[in-house]
Amino acid sequence: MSSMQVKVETLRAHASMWDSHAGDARDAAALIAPAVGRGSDFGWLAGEAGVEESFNAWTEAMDLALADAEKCCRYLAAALVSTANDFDTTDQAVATDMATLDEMI
Amino acid sequence: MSTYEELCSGIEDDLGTFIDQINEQIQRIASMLNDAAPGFVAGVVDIFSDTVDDAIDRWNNEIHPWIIDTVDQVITNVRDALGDLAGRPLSLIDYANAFSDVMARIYVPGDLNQKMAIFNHDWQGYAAENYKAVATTEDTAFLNLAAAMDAGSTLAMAAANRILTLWRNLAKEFLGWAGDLIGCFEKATEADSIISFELPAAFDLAQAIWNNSSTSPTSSPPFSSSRTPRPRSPGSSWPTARGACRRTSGRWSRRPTATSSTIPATGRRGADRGAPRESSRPGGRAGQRVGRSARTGTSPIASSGSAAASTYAAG
Repeated sequence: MSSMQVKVETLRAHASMWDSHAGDARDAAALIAPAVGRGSDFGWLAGEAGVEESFNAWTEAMDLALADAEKCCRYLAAALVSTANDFDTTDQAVATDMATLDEMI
Repeated sequence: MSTYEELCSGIEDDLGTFIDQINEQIQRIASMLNDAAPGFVAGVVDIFSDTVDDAIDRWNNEIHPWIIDTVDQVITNVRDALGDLAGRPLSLIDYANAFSDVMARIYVPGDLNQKMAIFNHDWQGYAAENYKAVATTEDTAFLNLAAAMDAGSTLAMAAANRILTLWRNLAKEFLGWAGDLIGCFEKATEADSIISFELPAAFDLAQAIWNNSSTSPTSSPPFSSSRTPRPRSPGSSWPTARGACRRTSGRWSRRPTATSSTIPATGRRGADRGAPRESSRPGGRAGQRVGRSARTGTSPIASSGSAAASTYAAG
């Protein structure tokens, strides 16, 4: 059984970090948005060689990956905040319990 | 050259100049041969009549048909190549820069490791271990995404530069071919030079571009050194020599206007793309065949398009 030690403010700091990553992923998706599905910009000849299709598939995959990354980061941030809140609540509850117990002794 | 429209406009201007110069040279040579033809000056016995007749034969049967076919192919191929290269390399460069920016934005090497090292002292236990595993996976995913963006940026930039290079080569090579052909005609100043007239292999250079930029179905027709007239294909849309001589304009025509917004779609491929197609074979073309009338005693015809040109000896 492991020992547990936590500073909840550190969890919240990490939550902010992942929120920031989520924002970066969203901004990145906006940056590449003009390129998504624009394989035709390689020209007709390149399109005949499959470049257009490959480029479109790649940009769409990148767009999807960035959207997923944003979701994952938001989820992770929310989980850390929730955990920090739980720790705070538990700490408060245990403190209250201990205070009650102290009065009973 | 910074835009595709600029390239198209420049090429069309050069093409127009090329067509004008070719027509001028054809007209000049036809006039030169007609002027030199025996019988033009009544009563003068021209000891060079055989030479002139041979020159007229060669002009009518070999050189002139070759020029018509070849110039038509040049015009078609240049416009086909322009259509084939109708990419937007400058947009691709913008995309490449965006991919590169994304790479820098989504991943800072070592950033998470540094934060996790501090974190290790502040949170320990099962939950902390699971969080570290998830965070490391996410960090690795960002690293891979950044690497993919970097690769995409490099490839898109390379493709854009390749297309720009092809554009530049196309313009450069075209000017080279046009110059070679015009220069060749300028040397043909008398009948003797027609006999020894050798058209350059300038159009072989075209293959370098066509092979890179197009699946051109045909190559330039070889110039035959024999005196035998080349057979014309039954389906040829070229007018007969007699028909050509009736044309008053007797010239290849310039494309009316090279609009900046229209991709010059030519050939079947252009039609497949749904782009408007302009015929690369205008109705009026060079028809400067030369009259040969020495043996019949009639006046030679400078077949510049008059109906009287029908007296020339067709090849």
